[in-house]
Amino acid sequence: MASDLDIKEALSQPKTWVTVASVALLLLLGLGPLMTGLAGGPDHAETEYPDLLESLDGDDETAFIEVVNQELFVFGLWNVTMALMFLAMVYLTDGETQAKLAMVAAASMIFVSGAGGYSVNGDAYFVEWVTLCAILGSPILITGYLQLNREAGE
Amino acid sequence: MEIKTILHPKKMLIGLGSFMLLMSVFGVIDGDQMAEDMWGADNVAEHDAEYEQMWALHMMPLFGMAVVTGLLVQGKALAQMAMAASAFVLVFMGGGMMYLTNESGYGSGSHTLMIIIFSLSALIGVAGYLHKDGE
Repeated sequence: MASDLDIKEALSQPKTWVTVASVALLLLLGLGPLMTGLAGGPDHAETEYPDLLESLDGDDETAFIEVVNQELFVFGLWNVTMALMFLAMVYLTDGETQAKLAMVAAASMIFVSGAGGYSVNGDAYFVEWVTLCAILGSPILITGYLQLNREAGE
Repeated sequence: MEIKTILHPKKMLIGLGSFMLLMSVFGVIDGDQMAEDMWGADNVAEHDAEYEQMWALHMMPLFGMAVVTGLLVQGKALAQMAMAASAFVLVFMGGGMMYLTNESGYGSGSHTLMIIIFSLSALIGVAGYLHKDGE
């Protein structure tokens, strides 16, 4: 019974959901792209820009593959930074401040997936990208809002 | 004026965060200029401006979070946040940018600006350390 309550309590904390979202962000969009970009092969360029790559040859092709891998590397690096910032925001604070910062983290994630995702790929991956961040961000917003109300009521 | 008063994590997070947020807005509005600054005027490819706009847009929440942190967090937690933010930016962004600079010359057109930004980021960490006891 006590452990049921602990789980219920943990699931009602924005901290728990920020941790889940940060780990997902770190693994899916952080370390994955970072390692692929660092490896430097032509795989990502071939998958994402097959037509463009076919139209290039020699030095142009090599330079294009290099730039695509660098962008992938920076994208991964940026996501690692964001995930670590999210974790710092909830593990170094508590109470009302933690709830507010968790909500800011979720809003940032949803902003980037919406506006940022559209600017990167246009319609491609837009729905998948927004859905993933909405799934990760919604529980943070809900529990953050509930914690704010709970703090105010105490 | 005492160094501890000048280097306050609240002022620095809000100040540098707002400045960088403003730069990101300019980056979104004028990606061409940003691409010229970062790659060098004679080394700008067709899609570079779009990449710069995209990155400026991605950086906005990071700087927004710095400003919000400065506004909402206080005491020891603020100092710890300042030290953490400084370390993340220096290690991941600074380290990553240096890696890119060595690889392809990105950022070579704006060395001074990069040095100023990363020095200020380091100062945020110093400010956090000076106020680590929460006073």
